[in-house]
Formats: sequence, C-alpha cells, structure tokens
Amino acid sequence: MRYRFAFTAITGEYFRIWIVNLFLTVITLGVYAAWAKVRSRRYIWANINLAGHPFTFHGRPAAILRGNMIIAALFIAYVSMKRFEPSFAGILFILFTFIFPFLVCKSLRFNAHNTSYRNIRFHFRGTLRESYETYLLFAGIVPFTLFLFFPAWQFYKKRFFLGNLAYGTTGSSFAGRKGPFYKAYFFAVVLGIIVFIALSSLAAVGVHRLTTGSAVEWGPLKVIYSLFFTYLLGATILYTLQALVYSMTMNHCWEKTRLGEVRFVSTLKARRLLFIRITNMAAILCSLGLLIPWAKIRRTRYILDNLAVVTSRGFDGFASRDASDTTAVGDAATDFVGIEIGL
Amino acid sequence: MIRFDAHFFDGRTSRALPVTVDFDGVTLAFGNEMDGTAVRASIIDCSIDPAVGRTKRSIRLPGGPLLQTYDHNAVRTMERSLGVNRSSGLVHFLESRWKMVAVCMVCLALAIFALVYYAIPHASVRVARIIPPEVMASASTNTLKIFDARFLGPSGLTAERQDEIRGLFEDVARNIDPGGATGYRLEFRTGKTIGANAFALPSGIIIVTDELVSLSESDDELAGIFAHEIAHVKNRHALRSILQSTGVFFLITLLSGDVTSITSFAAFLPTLLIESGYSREFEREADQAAASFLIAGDKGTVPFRKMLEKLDASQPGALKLGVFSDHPETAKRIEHLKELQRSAGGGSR
Repeated sequence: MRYRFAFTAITGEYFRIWIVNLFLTVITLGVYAAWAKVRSRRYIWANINLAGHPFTFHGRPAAILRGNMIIAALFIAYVSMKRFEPSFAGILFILFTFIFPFLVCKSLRFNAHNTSYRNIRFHFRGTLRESYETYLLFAGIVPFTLFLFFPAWQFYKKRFFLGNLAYGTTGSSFAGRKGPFYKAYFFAVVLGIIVFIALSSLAAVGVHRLTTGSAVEWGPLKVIYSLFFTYLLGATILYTLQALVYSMTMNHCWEKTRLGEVRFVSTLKARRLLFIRITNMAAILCSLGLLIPWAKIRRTRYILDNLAVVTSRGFDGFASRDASDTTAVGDAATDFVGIEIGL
Repeated sequence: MIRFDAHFFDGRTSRALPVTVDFDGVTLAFGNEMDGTAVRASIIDCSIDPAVGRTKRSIRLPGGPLLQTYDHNAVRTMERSLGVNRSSGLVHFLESRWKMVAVCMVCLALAIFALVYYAIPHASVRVARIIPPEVMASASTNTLKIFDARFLGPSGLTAERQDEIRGLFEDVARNIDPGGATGYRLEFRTGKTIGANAFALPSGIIIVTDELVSLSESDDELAGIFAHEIAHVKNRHALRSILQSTGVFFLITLLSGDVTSITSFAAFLPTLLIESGYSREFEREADQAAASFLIAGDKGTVPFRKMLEKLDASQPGALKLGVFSDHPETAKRIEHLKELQRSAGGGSR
C-alpha cells in the first residue's frame, strides 16, 4: 500500500501564528523566541498527516530557551573577541569548530526525540563519534581537495541523518550512493556558472549604459560596487541552486532509506522546486517579508505532496521503545537543552 | 456530560483505535474494543496540549496513552474544568482573530521602529560608557597596520610643519575633551589611494593625509577637521557602531527566525540601510561638535564648510550613494552647518 503525506496547513492561519510570534518575540527582546519556535513547529508538525494521523512536536520551550542562551553566549563571545582582540578570535573559531559536531548531534537528537506519530516517538541514534567524523573530519577534508570532496561530504551528512533515525524500536537503514550527489552538484555548478556569467554581463552592460560619461570614475568605489554586486548575485544563484541539488539528491536518498519494511518514494521535480524557490524569493522581497509564511507553507506542501510511504503491513505494528532502555535516559538529557541548527 | 469522538493510542504500539469518550466533568471514560476493557482516567491526572490553530487536540492520559480529537469544543470544556493553558489560551485568542493580528502587526512595526531609532542607540551609549577604552586599543593598532600596508605611505611633511600642526591639534583636543586631551595622538601619512582624508581610530589616534593638509588654506580649516575626528573618538562612535550593529543583527535574527534561512539572506538590505543610517547620525554628531568648537572660537562654521566642499571636489565623480552612504551628502552636511551657525546667532562671517 502506498500512503501519501497530506499537508493541511492553511496559509492564513500560519500567518497569524507567525505575526503573533514575531510581536511577542520582539517585545520580550527574544525571550519568547523559544515559545514561538515551539508554537510554529507544533502547528507545522500537526498539519503533516500520514494515513489519517498527524505528527506531533513535543519540544519544551524551556529547553529551547536554554539552547538559545548557549548559542547567544557563543555568538557574543565570538563577536566581542573579533572586534576587541582579533588575535584570540581565531582560537575561539577553532574551538567552535570542535564544539559544532557536538551541537549538531544534540540538535538532531532533540528534534527526533521530540517528534511523535501515533504516540510513538522518533529517536536519533547517531553517535558523537559519527558526528565528529562527519562534521569535523569530512568537513575538514573538503577545502584540501579543491572542493571535489564537497558532494561526498553532503552525502555523508545525509547518511548520518537518514541512517540513524528510529521510529520506536524500528531503526532506519540508508543505502544511498555518492553518484547522484556528484551528478547533482555537477549540474548545479555548470548551470550556476552559465547563469552567473550571463547575468553579470547583462548587468555590466546595464551599468555601463546608465553611467556613461562622468559619473563613475573613482576606482575604489567602483571596485566596492562590483564586489558588492558580485557577492549578491553569487549568493542568490547559490541559494537558488540549492533547490536543484535538494530535489536531485533527496529523491535518491528517500528511495534508499528503509524503516523496517517501510519504503519511501519521493517524486520531486527539479524544475518545479527551482521555480518555487525563485518565485518565493521574489514574493518575500516584494512583500518586505510579509509573505514568508506563505512561501514556507508553499514549499513544504510541494515537498510533502511528493513524498509517499510504501508499506504492506500498515502502521499499526510499530512498538515503542521501552522507557527503561538506557538510551532513553540519554534522551531525557537531550531534552534538557534544545539547540536548533539549520542544516 | 459531554461525549466526543477521538483516537486512542496506548503508547506501547502505533495502533490507532477509534473511541467515543464520555466526560462527566471529573472522569474521562471510554471502552477499548480491542481487548474489551474500559479505560477510566481522572481529568486531574491528564494533561492537555495547548491549542495551535485548528489542528488536532491531544489529551495525555496518565502513564503515556494519548487521545487525539478534532472536537475543539469538548477539549475547551475540559481545559476550563482543569483550569490549564490560560496563558497559551491568550496567545491562541490573539492568533485566532484577524483584528487582533492586525493590532499585533501595527504594534510589531512600532516596536521595531522604537528599537531601531531609540532603544538600540540609547543602549549603545550606556554600554559604551561601561566598557573601558583600553579594549579597543589592540583592534586600533591592527587597523592602522592594515591601513599602512594597503592605503597609506609615510608622510612627506617636514618635522617643523608636523610640530606646528600637532600644536594646533593639541589645542583643539584640549578644547573638545578637556578631561582626556592627553589620550589623542596625531599621525601623518600620505594617502596613496585614498587621497585627501582624515580618520580617527577608537584608541585616540587620528590620521591625516598630506593631501588634506595641502588642501587646507588656514589653521581654522584644519582645526574643524580635527574637531570632527576628535568628537568621533570622544563620543566612542566606533564602539557604539559595533554595539549598534550587533543589536541590529540580533533584531534581524529574531525577526527571521534563524541565521541560515532565506529570510536572513533577504534581510541583508535592511541591515545595510539601518547601519548606514546610524553612521550618518554619528557624522552629524561629529559635525555638530566641530561647529560648536568653531563658533565658540568666533570663527563660524565657514572654514569647516569650505574644507568639506574642497574634500568633495577632490574626489570627482564619486558615486553619490544616497541612503547607503556613511557620510551624508556633502550638500546636506553643509546645510546643517549653516543652520547651526544661524541658530548660534550668525557668528562672524
């Protein structure tokens, strides 16, 4: 049997939650951010339906508040070091590089353990060792291989996540390959370079037209302007092409993930996801940010509409992990601090 | 007595069991058809997840089982009898009504405005007072090293001329900042690529290029520039700019939710706008200090205005950056200086 995910979020409803969240977050100078995160996540999770039942998010705001405070402290330490004692900032940066895999692992555990479906919780079984391997060792190799290792690193990140999930007592397995990642990044890089050259030469012609004559003469300013423009254009293209890479790699990753006998089918179209991302960006920019909730719902809906679960035994047979299990204690510790790292 | 339909999940397996629940104000009761038992739970032992939008409500029974239902009215009755979720109920009330949301939007806009225009600049003044000046010393030394390597060369002015200008500089410093006049030092350089220019480092070092010195036609013109730069240092503008941009970054991060998403990417432009607004305000403050110094010396703002005009002319064709620029367009600054002179009673022209 094939079961489709149904995403039932309503843009207007999510917009209202979002605005109230922002308002309360700003007037409490950020303290409410933890509660806001829980509310919006609970809303999204509760609107993801599979075979008639929703997902549930359990994260407690107090835990996320503690996590936010840790992140804020690290950030303030880094900024003040960078500005006032630049020589120490490097040391601090290296220190963060070593803490980062730990935080990633904690974050994945927190989010998995605080997600449930049919009153059975998910878990993340990835070890710290694997996290350090993925986010320190493999990430560290990337620059030394002229970024040729980059797609492989992305692959290891996905393997770390999808291969270590568990629903109750049922663990996931991941048998993906690196090939599709290399293919996706190859396409993205080629397309990115073509678009970049095309757009920047168009822009250069435009600027030249606008400023023929006396206007632009002072060298340094011209350089700053073009650097600024290059950065902006490059960042936009990179961000847009992420959609391409996402669709090409995620279809493969889901296909190669198993949860017990449960299989997944993802049918994302690169072109469609690219179109959604570009129009979302334009909409957010033109609405000065007010369409952020709309864009988020739209993208999530497309991704979930194209994700299905295939199982011959239905969803009734999964067992919950015994509470006396030793790792359940680890999960309780995980719940104490909730750290959010966008991956 | 209320009755509602729900799904029952025992928490041991993922099986979903449709049940009809009876609530008599004290106890929840329903039959478990699978094993033929009846489940009873006192409402006091249950917890109810706060409502979010129109999503399914969850009632957690003691020991881990869960009831999920779309019957919002029934769950609200139970919440009332338990007396729970009052504060989240208020949030839910705000979220459920477009009118309330509109009020929140207006208040949000006002709050952002108040933070950017009042709270952040005022807080930065307070915090800058607490932080000792020494913390900026090593950053300043570094900046000067970088500038020396990239934009500046050794000065070609004679030692006598340098001493003469230093004397003038010290007079200005004593006048602007009588308490800390010894903390300022003047350095001479040639501005290889930056031409006629003067700038202050937060540790109190003020650098002036030979090109600027030769552009000036009188001591008063130089004194105006020095007063402007010393005011930057005295009012801790560099530190305040760091503090304020950190504040803006924090605000933007709050608004966009996280640092990695599209929203923070799009927030790049407003950040730039706000920060250049702040530095224009700093320039205004420094201009004001220079003007009152010159007016107090009965020279009027004319020498400083002339200097600004010459500086502007020395960099022909520089793009007018408008709202993005650090230095308000020269014309506007000159207008401001004229105004200051008028309000000081004309001065001597």
